[in-house]
Amino acid sequence: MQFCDECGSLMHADDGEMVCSSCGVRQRKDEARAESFVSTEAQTDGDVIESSPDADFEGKPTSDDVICEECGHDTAWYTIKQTGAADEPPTRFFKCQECGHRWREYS
Amino acid sequence: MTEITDAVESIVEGSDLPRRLKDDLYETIQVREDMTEGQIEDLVYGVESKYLENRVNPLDPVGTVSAQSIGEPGTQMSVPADERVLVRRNGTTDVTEIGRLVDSLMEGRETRTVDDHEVALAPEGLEAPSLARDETVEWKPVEEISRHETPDELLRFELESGRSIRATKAHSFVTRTDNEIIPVSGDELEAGDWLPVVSSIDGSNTDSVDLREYLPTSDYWYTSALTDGGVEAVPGGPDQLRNKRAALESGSIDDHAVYPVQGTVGLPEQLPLDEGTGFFIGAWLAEGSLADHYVSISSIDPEFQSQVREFADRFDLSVNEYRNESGFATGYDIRLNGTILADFLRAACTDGNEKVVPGFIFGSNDAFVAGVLRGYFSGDGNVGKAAVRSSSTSERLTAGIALLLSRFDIYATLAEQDGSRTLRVPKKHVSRFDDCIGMVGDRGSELETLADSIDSDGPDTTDQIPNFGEALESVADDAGIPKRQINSATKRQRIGRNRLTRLVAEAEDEISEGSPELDALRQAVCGDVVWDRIESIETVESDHEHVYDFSVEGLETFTTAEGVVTHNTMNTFHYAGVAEIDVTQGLPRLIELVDARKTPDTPMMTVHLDGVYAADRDRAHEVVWEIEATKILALGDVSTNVADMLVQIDLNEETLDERWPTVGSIDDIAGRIAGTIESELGVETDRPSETVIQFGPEEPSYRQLLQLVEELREIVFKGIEEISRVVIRKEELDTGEEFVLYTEGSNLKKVLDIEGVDASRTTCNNIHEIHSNLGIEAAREAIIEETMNTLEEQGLDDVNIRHLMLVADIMTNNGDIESIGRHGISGNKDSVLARAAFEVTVNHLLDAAIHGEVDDLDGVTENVIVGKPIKLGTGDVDLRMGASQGGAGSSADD
Repeated sequence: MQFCDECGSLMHADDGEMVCSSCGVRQRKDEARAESFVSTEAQTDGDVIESSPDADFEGKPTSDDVICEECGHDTAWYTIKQTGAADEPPTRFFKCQECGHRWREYS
Repeated sequence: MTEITDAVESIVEGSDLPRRLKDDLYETIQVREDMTEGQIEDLVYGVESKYLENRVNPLDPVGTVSAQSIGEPGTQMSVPADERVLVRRNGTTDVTEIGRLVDSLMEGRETRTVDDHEVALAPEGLEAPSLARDETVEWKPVEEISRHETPDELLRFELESGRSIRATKAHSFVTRTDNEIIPVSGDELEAGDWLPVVSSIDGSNTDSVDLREYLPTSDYWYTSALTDGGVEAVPGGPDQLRNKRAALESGSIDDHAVYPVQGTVGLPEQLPLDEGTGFFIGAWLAEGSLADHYVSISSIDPEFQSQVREFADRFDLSVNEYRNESGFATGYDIRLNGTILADFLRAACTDGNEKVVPGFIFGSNDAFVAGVLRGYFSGDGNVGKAAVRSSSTSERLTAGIALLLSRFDIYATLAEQDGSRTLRVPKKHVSRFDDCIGMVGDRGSELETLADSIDSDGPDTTDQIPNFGEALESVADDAGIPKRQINSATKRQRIGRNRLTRLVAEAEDEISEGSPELDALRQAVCGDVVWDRIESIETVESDHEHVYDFSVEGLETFTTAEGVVTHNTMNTFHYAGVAEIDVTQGLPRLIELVDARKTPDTPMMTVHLDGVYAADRDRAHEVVWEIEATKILALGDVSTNVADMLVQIDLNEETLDERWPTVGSIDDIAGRIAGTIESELGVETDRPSETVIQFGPEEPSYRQLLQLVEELREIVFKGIEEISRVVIRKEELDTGEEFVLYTEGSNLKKVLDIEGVDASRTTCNNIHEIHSNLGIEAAREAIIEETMNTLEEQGLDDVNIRHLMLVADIMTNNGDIESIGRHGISGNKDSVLARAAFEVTVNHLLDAAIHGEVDDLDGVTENVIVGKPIKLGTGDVDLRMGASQGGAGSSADD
């Protein structure tokens, strides 16, 4: 960015010279600093996001002491959350590995 | 007062106690009155036996690992305190007991308690080798450490290669099923299942070891401490300090070296780690012994001997050699004189009476490690018909050597024979062993003969890849490999790595396009782990108070000192349907639904596709680009030039091609983009080259220029403005596999018009949008569907759907969606009293009075308020007394 030596206003380019926007004084363009007049925002990465149905269960623990009521499969992913008060046991949330049925178990 | 005489000293020093306890003993003896030598001996003996009894012997067969959380709710898997794990701290590699490590880290660190587990953040720079999903092993930062009380029983797994692991039952391991690495809890494993063992690991490149870590500065002279002046604790008092400085100046002792309290035979303070020093340490581990002032190594092999002498020469150590004939065999001992050397080996390479591989070796450079192994195998090793073997009485030494071999991708099996631990480098790895490590002397030439004679690509039973599912069969099909070649492997679900490598190479020539099955097999071949079968499982107990655990990012596995990889997880479910899209769940979503909010907190759509669009990935992507809003920053770089008052867009050709797959010419696409900018911003654009668009404000104005850039960023060039992101997912439906799109943001109307979208199955989670596009019945259906899904997601699927149907019916009853609540259903009831009973009572009564409303008292609430029977059940009928009396009574209405 270049400022007018006469009045200090911002200058803009016109035919390869810098012109003061307010008083019209013409000055040589400072080519060496031209680079710094440009700011660039780079392209963002916009690839298609591909997912798979099991992505949300990657690395989740499994349990085989349960039976899915929907399909009878005996392995399910589960997670534990403290749904009640602190003196109560946590609730287990299951998701059947076969049919995706979900249920909870209050122990 | 008992005086410490030489006799007393010899009793105490002769015991197998650490320095600390010996010092305590001296103090105790001094304080007590007149102890006889016999009493002192008893005392020392008592302390010693108690000490030996309580000591955790490093060789104790403890398995490996630790991991976490599975099994019983709220319990995490973990490994016992004396399992040794491989860790790296700020670049220094070490093998350490997990209990000691975690305990020391927890001290003075903020801990929190999660389900009885004491958890603390791991310090920066602590890393453990971890198995990634693609079967490679990398050093990953340890994120958290934790410990909890030891449960009653632990499981101990014995693997076929001789390695073992102990962990809590709940502790989750990883195993391989259908070409994938999946976590599995310990009590699900059975003999015959496969566990991963690290076969290849990267070390760091340490070039020297600082002797200060092993020999305390208070007991030895470090000459660098003499010259830099800052000597605080000196071993021999001020007089000696002066003498030593004089000796240093006169050159009789060296700079940067360490010396014993009395003597001028030392070693460099930084002992270099290279092939020569490696060979010596390896040789000593195999054939060495220690005395107070010398180190002895025995071997009859001349080349072996000369390597040892070379080491002595290099560090100016004098050597004595002894030949001894003992009947049937000739022995040859080389003695290297030097207290420092002996003390260093004692401190670093022994633990109790057992030789161990010192921790610093695991992190040192390859040449040094190769030297250690060459020295070790040249001493303890022997070359068999199809393998290289070594044997040692120290289990820890053998395990350490096996782990060192993995630095060269060599996988060894372990066994126990006649009370000693044997290690075997199988045939497959012999040539590599010869190339990278080798042996000296006669054994060296035997090794070379063996390496030349065997085909390292031959069948190999020690390194098999299990559970590859049907991938092999389908790859073979595609590549035209005869079925009979792979039938038995498919049936048994295991195949030698070499065989599979060849099959994959063969298939690669045949199959040119990407095949997921082939990729899976290739990944299996290139993995850094060997799959080891479980031989037996037993239940054991632990005497330690706690069991311990690390959390490592990624697949959350870490490696124990025997190389067995274990798994760790403390994740919770992602409740939403799609992991990548965050959707409001649970009670907030339910409230949102019954409140009939105009737009949900997180609008989203499920877009099903039609015909080829559903089956073909590229066609599905076409639809994605039609839906997802494309803004300028997705297409290229935007530069603002304030001197020339210009905005310049440098379009990325590849992106254009990808996002406008149906338009052939780049010029055409860029032209359209320029046109959009012109009409949206009202500026003239110009295109100095095909992919560059530039424009500026009409009048030079800084403010306008920046405003143009701001507006430019908001322009949607393609796709639907409201939809910021689309996730594509391949799903298994009743009708077969197809691609389904999930969007962040919704606009049902526009999406339904897009070619390729199956309008009959596409839906969104905004009930108002469904109402305005598909009508009130569809909205009712959507309400039922959404509420039911929300409940099911929480495991509450036992709520009867009729409740939800009733809610949906009421909400949509008058042809419009009304919320349940003051502004909806409850506020629209006919009865004044019923409304007043719900919320803002006074307002309702006042309004009713102003408008002269009448209440017929038909409902339940109104009748309760006025104290009349409600018009339900027995309250629904009125009774009147009959007019006539007697037998054949007629009804009151007669």
